[in-house]
Amino acid sequence: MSTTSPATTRLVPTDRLSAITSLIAEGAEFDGNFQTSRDQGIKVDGHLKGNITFETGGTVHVGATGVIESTRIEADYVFIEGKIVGAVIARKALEITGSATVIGDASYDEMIDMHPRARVRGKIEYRGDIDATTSSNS
Amino acid sequence: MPRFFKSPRKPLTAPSRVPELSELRHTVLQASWRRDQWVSRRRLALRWGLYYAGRYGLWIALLAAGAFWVWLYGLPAVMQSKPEPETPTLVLKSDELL
Repeated sequence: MSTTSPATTRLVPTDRLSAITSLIAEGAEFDGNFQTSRDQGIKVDGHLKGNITFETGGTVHVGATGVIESTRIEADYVFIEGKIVGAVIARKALEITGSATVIGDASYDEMIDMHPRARVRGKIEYRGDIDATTSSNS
Repeated sequence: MPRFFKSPRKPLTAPSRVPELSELRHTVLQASWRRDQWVSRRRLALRWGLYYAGRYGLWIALLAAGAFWVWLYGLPAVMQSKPEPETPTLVLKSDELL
């Protein structure tokens, strides 16, 4: 049996995408909030209306067919290939691929990677301490 | 070679192997990744195509129109103005010699 590796990520570790524990499949519609305090992961290939909150850790993978609306996503790692309408908060790494569409504000604490042809309409904000980074560089 | 003993039949209610949860999860994720790759590649190609069409579309259209014009009007004109090869004239002077 041939094995397929996860999407070509440049920032989000592959093992985080392989450790996904919940899946909203393509064609499925989910209306409600997803919340957990465990370090787990969710992949959205279908349609989701609601928030996704990982209090600690967590990986959110929005597949190429996935659409999330009126949402607030908060997790350590956020990997977007599909469409998101709402706010995104990545505590460690945020990666937006070239097939992704983000309408809303995105903020991150450590790292961000946006591939060419990604469509973003909104504010991207670094939540860390910019002065501390500047003073360490100078 | 004749077989004297029939192989024991499996009972119809034989329990099939139930896949483990991790195995099932891995299989589902792999199918999802395969679909992701296909869809994202197609969408990315479309976005790049739109980008290049917007950037170089005018030049490509002009080039294509020029090539079409040459093919339609230029080539027949060249073919018509092509001079025909001269046919050698045969002159018999054998009678004069005699």
